[in-house]
Amino acid sequence: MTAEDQPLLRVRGLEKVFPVKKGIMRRTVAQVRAVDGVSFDVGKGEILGLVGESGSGKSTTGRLILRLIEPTAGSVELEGQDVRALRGEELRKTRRDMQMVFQDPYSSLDPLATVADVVGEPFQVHFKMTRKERDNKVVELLEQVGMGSHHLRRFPAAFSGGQRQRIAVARALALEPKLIIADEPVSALDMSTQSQVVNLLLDLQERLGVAFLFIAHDLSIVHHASRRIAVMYLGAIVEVGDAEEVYARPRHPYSEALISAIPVPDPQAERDRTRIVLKGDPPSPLNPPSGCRYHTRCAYAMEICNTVDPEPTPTVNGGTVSCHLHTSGPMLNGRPISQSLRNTSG
Amino acid sequence: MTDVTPPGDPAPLLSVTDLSVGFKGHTETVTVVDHVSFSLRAGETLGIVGESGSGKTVSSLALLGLLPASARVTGSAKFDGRELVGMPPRKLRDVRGNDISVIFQEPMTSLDPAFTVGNQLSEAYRNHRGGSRRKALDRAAEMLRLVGIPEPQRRLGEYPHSFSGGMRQRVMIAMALICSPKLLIADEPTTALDVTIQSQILELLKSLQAELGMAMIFVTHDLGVVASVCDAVSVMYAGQVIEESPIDEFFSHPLHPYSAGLLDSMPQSVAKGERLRMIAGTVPPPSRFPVGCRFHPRCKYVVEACTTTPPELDSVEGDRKVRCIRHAELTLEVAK
Ligand SMILES: Nc1ncnc2c1ncn2[C@@H]1O[C@H](COP(=O)(O)OP(=O)(O)OP(=O)(O)O)[C@@H](O)[C@H]1O
Ligand SMILES: Nc1ncnc2c1ncn2[C@@H]1O[C@H](COP(=O)(O)OP(=O)(O)O)[C@@H](O)[C@H]1O
Ligand code: SF4
Ligand code: SF4
Ligand SMILES: [Mg+2]
Ligand SMILES: [Mg+2]
Repeated sequence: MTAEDQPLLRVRGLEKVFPVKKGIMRRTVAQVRAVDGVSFDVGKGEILGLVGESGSGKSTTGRLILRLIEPTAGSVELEGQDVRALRGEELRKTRRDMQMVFQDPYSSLDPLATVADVVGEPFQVHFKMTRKERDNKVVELLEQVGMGSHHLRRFPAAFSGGQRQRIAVARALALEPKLIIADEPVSALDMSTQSQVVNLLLDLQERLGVAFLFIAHDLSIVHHASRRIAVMYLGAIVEVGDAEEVYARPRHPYSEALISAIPVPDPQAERDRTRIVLKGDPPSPLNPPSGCRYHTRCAYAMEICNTVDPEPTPTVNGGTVSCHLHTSGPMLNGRPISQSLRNTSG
Repeated sequence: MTDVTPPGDPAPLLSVTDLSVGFKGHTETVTVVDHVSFSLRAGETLGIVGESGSGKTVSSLALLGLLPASARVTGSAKFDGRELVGMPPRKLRDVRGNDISVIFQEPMTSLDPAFTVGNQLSEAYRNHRGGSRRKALDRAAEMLRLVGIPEPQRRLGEYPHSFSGGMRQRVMIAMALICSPKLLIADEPTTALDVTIQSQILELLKSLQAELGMAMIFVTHDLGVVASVCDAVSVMYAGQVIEESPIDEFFSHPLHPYSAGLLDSMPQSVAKGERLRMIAGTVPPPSRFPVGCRFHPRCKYVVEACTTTPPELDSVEGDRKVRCIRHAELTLEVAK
């Protein structure tokens, strides 16, 4: 493979098992398979959206990529370098290339540090810079995220949620990363502020060529901002593909349900639509279902789904779907559910 | 409008007029809800939307007499012929259990972890309706079934922590509905939930409403949710109602520049990948509400007069209201 078509980030078979401990002896009484065999690529300068229900393993995936926690199995490569094999200086360099922005702008910033400290800290850690040099850099970064230099000596408490999220983004940008993992960067923000932050991410991707793993549960925003979308359910990616394909013509029954659940701001469309109301609750990751992990809630479940875990089937443009509908039963072979099942399932 | 009450029915179930709430600070009283008015009829759902801090929760708590002692509440809230503002706490508690129920945003804090779900549901029923424990437990099981919890009899004996977030929210709904209220106030009941669970709960509330004929006030900041459950919407900005409209009119041609800005900032109003439209600036805190029109520092239609004259909430087109001095001359387009 040449350097040209090599993806920026390559994740293969990523797994994380957390022990569940109980009692004063902290004995391990069970195991949570939070991430259970996740594989995907992020291209250079690409925005990949990662969506799924609460507890499906999105944040854990992000933290594994950054090695904030150690994977149980699997590999993470940044520009062909196995991140898990790196040590010392090389690990530090790779860490600079990947940064994270967290969901909650209210708790992710140190309340006692000024904007200059928060945004400038990475310079202090990675380079020996004078305070003056650092401040100049911080002002540049604040400008990148649309904030004036007069904010330099102010504390996080003085800022609105959207401004704090900008500060967090400025800090993530400090070391000129190639990839930013943004974990629900707009979920805690108000409607009018959400669009400000989404626009900022789009600008940075365009101007600086930064790639993003954009984790969110709001599918309409993810669809809008991302080139491709990966859908997670109970620790696994069940479908990945071109954003428009996944959104408009989902191949996996769970993607279909997830998309049909989004309320749209159009009363007539809301009256006309048929919603797929999922039965039951998400199963516990302590005790995931056998076979296809979605079979307990799937409207299309067949005999085989109870026992056999479906393998990925290619869809279009390099997308994949993991569902038996594509390989047995109706044999969709990667085609959208809507086109192929309309006549058979009503 | 739903078909429960014919449009134009002269007697609203709830009519709120000039409701204001101030909180006593160290030096002065800060008014956070300022002359809020709205009304709704039986069987109808009113959405209250607005950004965080705009006064949605304080308005609904004020109706129920649930604000702390530091709050000063004035104005009127007539419910089914009775005045709620200034009603003695004991009588108000009666109204709250029997005729008006509330669902709050965070389900775990609203259920008592020390008692079984069956205990809490049946006590809620007995407190207001009396009767035997046996009968109350039967009613509780019936409610759990109605909100879609499998094996309700067995579940009655379990504690809240063994329910998932979505199920706890359904238990809260069962609790709120067990006395068949005439009015349900739901304050962001689905904001903390996943979209799939949110859609279960919205469908559930709609079908229960059709079955029981109750009115709902739905506090939310999600315009998609408004389009899906409400008949009319009241938009709040900086403690004031700035527009009240039936939803079809609201979504097709909003009257207030702030409403138009909110609709415009949704991803649906631009092509995929394009920059989203934004309302510049941020919502000011109550101690710094601007003079004149409170929205003027962020409004793209601002003129000199807006910075000095506070606009009134004017009635237009029969059943719509708007607080903007330029509403008659502005035509606000919303992209589709
Ligand atoms: N340190 C930990 N110890 C034990 N279990 C954990 C730990 N961290 C996460 N989990 C479990 O792993 C699963 C995945 O969690 P994760 O935070 O990745 O979900 P998520 O998809 O980001 O959800 P959300 O949308 O709520 O943020 C959950 O069941 C969670 O409870
Ligand atoms: N107990 C209180 N004391 C003082 N101020 C309060 C109190 N409760 C709410 N407020 C203030 O009132 C305003 C409106 O709050 P709220 O109604 O909760 O907004 P929202 O529209 O987000 O529900 C906010 O500025 C909030 O800080
Ligand atoms: S494999 Fe079977 S149960 Fe799983 S999503 Fe496909 S049809 Fe549904
Ligand atoms: S009164 Fe003036 S500033 Fe306020 S919304 Fe109307 S045009 Fe805008
Ligand atoms: Mg998470
Ligand atoms: Mg609130």
